Amino acid sequence: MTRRRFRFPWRPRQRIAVEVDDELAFHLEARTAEYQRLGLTAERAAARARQEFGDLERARRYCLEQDLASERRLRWTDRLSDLASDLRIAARRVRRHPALLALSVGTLAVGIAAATAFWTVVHQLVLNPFPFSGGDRAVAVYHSLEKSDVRLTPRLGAVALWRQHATSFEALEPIEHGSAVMVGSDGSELVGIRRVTGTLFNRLGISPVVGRALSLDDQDPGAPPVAVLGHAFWQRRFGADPTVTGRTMVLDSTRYTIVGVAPREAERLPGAWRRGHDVFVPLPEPGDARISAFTLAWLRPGVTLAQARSEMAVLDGRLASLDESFTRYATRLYSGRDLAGPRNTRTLLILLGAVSLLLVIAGANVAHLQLGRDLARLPEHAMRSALGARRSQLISQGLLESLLVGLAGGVLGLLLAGPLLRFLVESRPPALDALANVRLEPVAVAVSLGLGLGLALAAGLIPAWQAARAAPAALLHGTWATEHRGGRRLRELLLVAEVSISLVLLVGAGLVARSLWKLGSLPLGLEPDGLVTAAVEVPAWRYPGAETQEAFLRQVSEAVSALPGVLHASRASGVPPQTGITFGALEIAGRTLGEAETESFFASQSVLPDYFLAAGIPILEGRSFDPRGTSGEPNVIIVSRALARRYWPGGGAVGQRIRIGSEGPWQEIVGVAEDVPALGLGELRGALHLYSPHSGRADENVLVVRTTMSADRFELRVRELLRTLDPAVPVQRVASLPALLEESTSTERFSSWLLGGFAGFATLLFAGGLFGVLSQAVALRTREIGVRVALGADPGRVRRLIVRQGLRPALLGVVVGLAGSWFAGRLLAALLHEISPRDGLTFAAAALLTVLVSVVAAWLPARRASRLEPVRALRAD
Amino acid sequence: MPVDLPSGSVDILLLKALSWGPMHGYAASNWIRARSGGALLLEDAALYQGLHRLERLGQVESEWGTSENNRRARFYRLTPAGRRRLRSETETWRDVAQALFRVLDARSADS
Repeated sequence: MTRRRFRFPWRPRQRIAVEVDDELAFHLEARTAEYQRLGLTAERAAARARQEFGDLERARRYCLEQDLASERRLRWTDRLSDLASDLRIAARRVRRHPALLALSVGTLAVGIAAATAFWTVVHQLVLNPFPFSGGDRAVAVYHSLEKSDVRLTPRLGAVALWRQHATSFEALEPIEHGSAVMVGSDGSELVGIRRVTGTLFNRLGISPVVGRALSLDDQDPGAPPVAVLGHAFWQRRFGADPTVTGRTMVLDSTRYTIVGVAPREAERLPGAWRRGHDVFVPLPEPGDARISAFTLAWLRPGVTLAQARSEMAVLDGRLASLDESFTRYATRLYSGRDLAGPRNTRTLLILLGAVSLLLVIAGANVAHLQLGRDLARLPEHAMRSALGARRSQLISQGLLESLLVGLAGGVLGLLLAGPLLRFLVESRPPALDALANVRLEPVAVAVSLGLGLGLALAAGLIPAWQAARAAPAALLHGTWATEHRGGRRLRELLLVAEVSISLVLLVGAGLVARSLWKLGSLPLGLEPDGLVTAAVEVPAWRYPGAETQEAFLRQVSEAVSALPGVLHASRASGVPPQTGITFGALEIAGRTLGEAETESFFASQSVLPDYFLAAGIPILEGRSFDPRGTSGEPNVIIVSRALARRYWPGGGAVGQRIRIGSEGPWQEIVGVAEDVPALGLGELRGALHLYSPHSGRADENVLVVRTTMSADRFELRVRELLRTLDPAVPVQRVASLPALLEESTSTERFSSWLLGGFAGFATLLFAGGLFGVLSQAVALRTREIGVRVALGADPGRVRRLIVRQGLRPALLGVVVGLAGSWFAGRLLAALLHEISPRDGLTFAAAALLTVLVSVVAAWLPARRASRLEPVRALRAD
Repeated sequence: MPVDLPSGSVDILLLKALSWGPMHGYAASNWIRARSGGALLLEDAALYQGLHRLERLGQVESEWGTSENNRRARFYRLTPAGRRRLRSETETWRDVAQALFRVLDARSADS
């Protein structure tokens, strides 16, 4: 234990100098006296002493310097120990109100945990999805249709042209996605193949954990086939075996030698759609220019995104003569920020916004609690102030307590953020699958603690300042409760803020929930129950030529029909909500369409004639396709009701001829099928639907089966069946229609749950805040209430008085909240379908709920107030 | 004959002097002279510089008090850190001195 000696208060420089002089003077006098005793005269003694001393000036300067340094160090030690004791005192004071502490810390912690978790998600998915070297200069290059969100990956031919002509890029890396069948002992599996250049890993700044990366030589078309395993695939299929290099694997009948394993960071390469980055193989160079690949480009240093974009626009024109894809599409560059897809980005940002609002409420509530505590301490402050405490001391003490609360809240929030993030990752919707790789980063620590301290400071500053302003006399007399208007106004303001924010969150959650409900009650157009789909991936190397593939598929669907429990089996090229897309301008024979009428974007499927029967889609007019022959009738088409109604409102679409694009044969409409509105909520929403007859080219490899079996059971049977027919053919994506439909709204459901949770928490917070404020108001005004009752006010009136006092900020908050929701409605539009962001019913319901909650929150304090006995109340103080 | 002292040794002498109890600079100066039989003449300027330096290092602490003849004087005393340093440096000096003498006392070129 360090002993603190009694010291004078901090010595100024003047004083230190004087002390040094005194000390040296003492020495000289003593030495002089000694020499005098030995017989010298006063002057001789003094001179001798002086001379014997040495360099007096130098000594004086040196000692002064040393003393100043000592003084500085002591001041620092003093300051630190003062701070330490202040903190100890603050901690003691804070601990004295455990309920208050728990509530403050808990509120802060929940808010901070949510904010940290979401900020991490947004940061990693939206702001920084390219966590690779030079990632901030990386962009994704797409070809897109003029007026739609749909983007296509560019062809390799286009990439080569950009390499030659574009000056904005210092590198272009195409990553071709594909899949291949890997035959193993337990059946065959479809693995995700990424064909990449030998320079990709270098460019990304990653190196393999085992073996080597691909090289430029491997890209030579004649080079022996090599592969680099993806990290997760290596762990899953090869048991993370470090001796895996040199082993071989067979993908689609080609034998590849494994040369290395990619690091975990490679999983975060963008573009991992349904299947992960299982295996990296070389992209042949020179290769087929028609293959399209997801392309990343790195901007040259000094080139901005805007400059690159304008260069792309210019090149689109110039290169049109060299590659036809430039005539049809416009080149678009997406920075990491836009890569998550506009819908996902908006969803995440909306959620982040909601979390921020929640944080504000949490902060406001903590401010309430602090205010309340300070209000209760006013007499003490007044006393101390009267005894000489400086205002800055009172304020700093209050602030220190707030900081401790903030620190505790931040730490707890950080601890909670981890599990919360894991929960988010576990329950992520498929569209946000990239969430799987989101991890808590060290920056999160800074975020949490910063938020905690910042909020607490903000929350504690105003009350502390307020408290210090209290006039001692009024406080000591106990009349401050009625006189202290300023504090009341502040608390009301805080309450108004809380209520309004909570209302905005309630409206948001309500809108999303209603939107979901409306989606769910849309007519589906097909019969989802009992409908199961499965994709059969017929490998070309085993069944060369379309005829053999088609024959095999026919064999499969016949065998499936024969399974017990299967009512009907058909095939199609895809199934809602995952149909294909067709673009091109619609043309109608014998009619010219104006600009506004031309649709260029369609959902399309090629189907077998009995598809409609199997799927339960009624044919409203005309007929389904003709079942004769191995391939369907030529040049016929079936359209959806919306299309028919749009162009032939009075009916009579059957027999008309249409085509997509201005070349090619006219297709005769032979039938009109019911709409399937639940076509997924992405780009295909609201698209018109076209059905082509089956092509005979084995395009229809998705089984559409109506069965009484459950999807799992069906999966087992189908896999069994395929194993007996041909074990090298994998079955993928077995799913029931209800499950697929649910999946298509999964993002909305995810957001709905989260927003609902936020709104609920916010409501709880403001209710608690209101309850606290009113309780304290009642406690403070006990005397006044006693007087009123003594003067004849009945309990009902007292109750109403208190409730009115509580309702005033609540109602004001509702008004402000409704206005805010009105203006902010547009922001929510990305998540809403079938419902307007200004839906009156939702607004009204949210407002009503808020008022109700306020009344309930005010009820208990009001009741307590009405039950006060006047005598006790008057005596209380 | 007075010997010039290397600077590190000022500190150790002061620490030793103060190990007998708190004293002011004048007393310390006299003690060192007496103890070394007049052989070590420590310049007073250096002594006071040493004292102040030791205080900055935290190895001594000072306090104003009254001297034997009722004059105001600055008294110094060892801190625990100073005591520790005294202990360890005494050992070091002893070792150095012994080694030095082993070299200096060598009777022949290779003993």
